[in-house]
Amino acid sequence: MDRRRFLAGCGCCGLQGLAGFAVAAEAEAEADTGRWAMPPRLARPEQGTDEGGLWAFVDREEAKLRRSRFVLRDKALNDYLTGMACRLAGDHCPDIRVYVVRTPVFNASMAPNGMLQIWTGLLLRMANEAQLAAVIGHEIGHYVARHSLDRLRDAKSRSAFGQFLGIALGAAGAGGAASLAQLAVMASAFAYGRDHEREADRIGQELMARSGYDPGEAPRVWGQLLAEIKAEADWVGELEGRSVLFASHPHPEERMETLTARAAALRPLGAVTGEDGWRRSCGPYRRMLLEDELRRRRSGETLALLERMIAAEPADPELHYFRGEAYRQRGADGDYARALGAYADAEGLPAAPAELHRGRGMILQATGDEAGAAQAFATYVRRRPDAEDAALFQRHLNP
Amino acid sequence: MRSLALLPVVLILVACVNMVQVGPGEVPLGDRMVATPGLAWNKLQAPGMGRVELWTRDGFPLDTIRFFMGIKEGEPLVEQRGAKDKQVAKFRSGMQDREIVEMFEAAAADAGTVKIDRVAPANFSGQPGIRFEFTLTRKGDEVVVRGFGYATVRDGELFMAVFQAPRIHYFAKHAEAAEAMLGSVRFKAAGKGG
Repeated sequence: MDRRRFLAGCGCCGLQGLAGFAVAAEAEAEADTGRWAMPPRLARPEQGTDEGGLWAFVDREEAKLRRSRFVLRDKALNDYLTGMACRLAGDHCPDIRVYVVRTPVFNASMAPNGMLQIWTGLLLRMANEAQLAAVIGHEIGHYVARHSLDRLRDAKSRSAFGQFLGIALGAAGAGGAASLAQLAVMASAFAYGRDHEREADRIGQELMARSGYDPGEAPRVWGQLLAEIKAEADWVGELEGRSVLFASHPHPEERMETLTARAAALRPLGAVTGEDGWRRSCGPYRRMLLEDELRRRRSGETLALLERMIAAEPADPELHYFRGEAYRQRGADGDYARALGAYADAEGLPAAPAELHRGRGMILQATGDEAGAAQAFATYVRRRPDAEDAALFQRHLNP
Repeated sequence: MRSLALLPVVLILVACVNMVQVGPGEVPLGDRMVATPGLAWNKLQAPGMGRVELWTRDGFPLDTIRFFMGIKEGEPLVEQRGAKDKQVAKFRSGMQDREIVEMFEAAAADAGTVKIDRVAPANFSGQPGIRFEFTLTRKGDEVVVRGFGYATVRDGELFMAVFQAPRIHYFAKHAEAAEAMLGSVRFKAAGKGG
């Protein structure tokens, strides 16, 4: 496949994450794995230095973030994620503070002062702990190698970086999603440059391997993200005009090859992916995050995500239900039939969400099957008499 | 440098945007509807408002009523910056009540984290429609606002009015007047029949 076509036109699918987890490109075999040594803990820089100014700035942003209504305050989840970050970060553990931010976009970022933001759109997209470790390991790579400082000292990028800090951290503190123009600024500032990205990739995978995570999950995360981007671009019909995020990083497939090759070299004996802890900790939030995801109306991305999740957990009725909802809301040619199929798949499984009957009723009504619709709505109201919209369907109970 | 660059924009805004007092008594809403508020409200006048009107009592961050008058087939409720055409929920004349709420939800989600608290059949502007209630945490200022809205479809076009105000103090302060105001909205007799 033509790479440029593959990447074309994905400017607005919530890709801050790509910037954060972006893009080292050339498939240079990096044979020096294993020789990298973790730098010592970072000391707080002197006030009055440029680095001190940077820290003071992000400290203020962190104070705002700490109070944000968009931060999920769940000790168990936070402890779990902090444990994962600490496992990767080793001696740097005491310097890292994890914030889970409710924003349905793939993104994580680590500020130079140790503030680690994980957005819920990223949590939703990770299949296991090792996948998140791939993203966080990469961010820790930028952190321990102090890439932001290099970036700050690069006069040409200083202005862009300042804007980035204002936008990225400010927006995150405010819950998030930036406009396309802001995304462009963020991308240009946050894209550290190929050398930094390559180094962060390498450190991240190294940390994964040292911590016993399967480093093969790193190229998988990247591949999943690319598949979502492609699905969204295909759906919105944007095959021309390349994403700002890829503009300076034109070789994601080669990056995948590098990550894959390095994973094979690094994979430790008994490497784990950590599904169980992941499900236990993030599972309780999945429904809420899927609802947030649906509201984004990025059906290409959402459907690619759901199909991937269903492939991994085909007996999970909630995933089939949400797939039905995504098709119903999209409503393109053939989508109603696909939605009905997905609702039927959900219904055939134990503990299927009652809302599937509402979705089915809506499609049957739209396609002229009044009797079928009435029956489905009645089923919905009988099963969810307390639903926020039950009153809309009450009349079907006693036709 | 930057403030200088913004100066023309500010001047334009100063020149063209103003608030006018409307009510009490009959007030036209666009050219198809009228409201009869019992109190005085402030209405924003600005270029490019299209089929939307914004009213407030204490000022916009504090309380807002948005009127959407005659959203046509294929049009979104609000423009979403940065979104591609297919990424925006759009009105269809055959939309079911629940879909209208979902369209509102998608638009509101662009502004923050939204939760629909209740939806029920209700008359609006003298014809069948829906009433819905919601809670929104705005991502701009992180203020939690509560609101309610009414919607109805007439001649294949959507008419909706939404009140919202911060959950603390302002919602309670204005909810009753807003409810009465939205209840007073009617289609003009001379308008097209429904």
